[in-house]
Amino acid sequence: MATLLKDITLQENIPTNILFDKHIEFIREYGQKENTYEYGMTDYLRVSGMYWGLTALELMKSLPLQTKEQIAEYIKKCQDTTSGGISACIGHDPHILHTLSAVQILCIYDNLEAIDTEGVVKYIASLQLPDGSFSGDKWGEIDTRFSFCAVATLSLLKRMDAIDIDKAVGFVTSCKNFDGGFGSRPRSESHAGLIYCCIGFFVYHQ
Amino acid sequence: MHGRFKVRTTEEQKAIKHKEQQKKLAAYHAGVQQILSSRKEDTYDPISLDICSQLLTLNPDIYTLWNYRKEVILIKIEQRPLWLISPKDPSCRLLFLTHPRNIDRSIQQAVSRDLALELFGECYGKDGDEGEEKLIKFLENEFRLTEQCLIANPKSYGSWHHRYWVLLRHPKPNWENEFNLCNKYLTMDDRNLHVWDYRRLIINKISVTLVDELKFSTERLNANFSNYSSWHYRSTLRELDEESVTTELNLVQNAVFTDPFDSSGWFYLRWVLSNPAVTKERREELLDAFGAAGRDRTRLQMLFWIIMAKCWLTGSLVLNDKDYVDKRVEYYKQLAKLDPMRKGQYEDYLKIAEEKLKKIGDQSS
Repeated sequence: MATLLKDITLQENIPTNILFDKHIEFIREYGQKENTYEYGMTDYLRVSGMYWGLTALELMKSLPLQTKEQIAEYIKKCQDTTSGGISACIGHDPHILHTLSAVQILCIYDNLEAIDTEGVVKYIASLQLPDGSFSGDKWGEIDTRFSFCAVATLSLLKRMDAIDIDKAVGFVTSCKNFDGGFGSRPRSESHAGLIYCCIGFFVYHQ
Repeated sequence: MHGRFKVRTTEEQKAIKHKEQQKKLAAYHAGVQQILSSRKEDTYDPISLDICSQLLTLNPDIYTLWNYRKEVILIKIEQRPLWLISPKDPSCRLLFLTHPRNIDRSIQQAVSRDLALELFGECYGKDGDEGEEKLIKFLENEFRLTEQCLIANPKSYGSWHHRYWVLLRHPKPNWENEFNLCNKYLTMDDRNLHVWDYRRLIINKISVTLVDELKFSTERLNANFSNYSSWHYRSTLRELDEESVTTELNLVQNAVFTDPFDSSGWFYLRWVLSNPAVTKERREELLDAFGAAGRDRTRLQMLFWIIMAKCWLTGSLVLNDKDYVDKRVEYYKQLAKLDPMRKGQYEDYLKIAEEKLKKIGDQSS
């Protein structure tokens, strides 16, 4: 229904299978030899970047160059002992986005015990507001992305009881729009990324 | 990245670039390290704050750096000099309060909060003119920084949030100014969700009537019907009743006939038609209008939307009217041909419509 632009002409001899080995190699080597600049400059999202790479490797039944213990050690150092939240990178501030990524990574390798999971639960519960919404961190930005992060994390930790789920549902529902889509806050325009988060939220709520 | 050609460079060029990048990387890490190690509870390092501004201008997504700035602002707010006023005698306001650890010795009557409470009993603080001025000057600098960052990247969550956060703590926030800023950004990109969201926050703080907002919305749409954000905004303004539903139907009918190739008007039409206040007569009128327009089979994309609209219209007409269910079966078959990517969806609807048709057939036999 949207006007699609065709800006690529495919050659005849292109591969028709996914070259998994090449993808595995790329991810495993990322930040080791090539791309050290991009890798270094994106430390502000490191833990989430790790999740994207590691989950892709896991789906391709491959392992990273680092050991599970090394990965867990790094994540452990990213947990803030005061708030319980986890940051993107050592020394940076905790945020719900990276807290989810951290928990997801540890679930892949089955070593949640590397972090203080009760601390994570406390952190997420502390971010819920009276109207059911969640802020991303203590500085107060509200977004349905964070509602998704909250239930996704608590679902993995089997601690959905820690938040007011009815209020949370109420808030996300209030973000539904005239076109059936969802936005980041009530009355925000529908956006595919937020629709993903809101539908994902409802899936976790089931 | 999308749409970027891979430029092949010589080994030499590669080496130079690599060296430059390593320098930038080292500077970035050193800068962040300096800032993070300077974080203290009740003082801040102005040099670190300056480095922070530079780094954020280059990359406003480094969220920890925005957090650091907020901490500094809170220190500034906490440490500003205040008048202490006794509720028992409001004219008595000769005492300054400064942060106990930061007493300005040049202010002769500076006292600590504890001493003030001892002398006055309960009292409250009020910004002295000087203190307020200094704070405002400091916060204006924050606005300048966010504006710089937003010009470079108008879609950074961090920049928008910081600006709003500062406004909430500004002694004399100029909400009208912010409102105008939104309109300026909408002129540059009227699909920027961040700007629309920010505008919504500002509107809560100033008094804007529904009439104003409808006028604004109508102006935007008249300037450009092909604007999903404007239609979306309009949908959030009010619940539609009999009167407003007519206004909206007229507006959007005009839009889809003027610019039938843009999907946003059609989505809005679907929403308006879902309102029970739209009369049967009006639906039949529209059905006729679309019927006439649909006879031009050269404009396939418009035909697609017309058939979709006919589905919406006939779906909400009285369903035991066998004629219309019949037509919808045809419509869905046509849609599946016109839009094969979504064939599955139309076949789902077709199944439902055919079942209804069968039920009607069974009932009449």
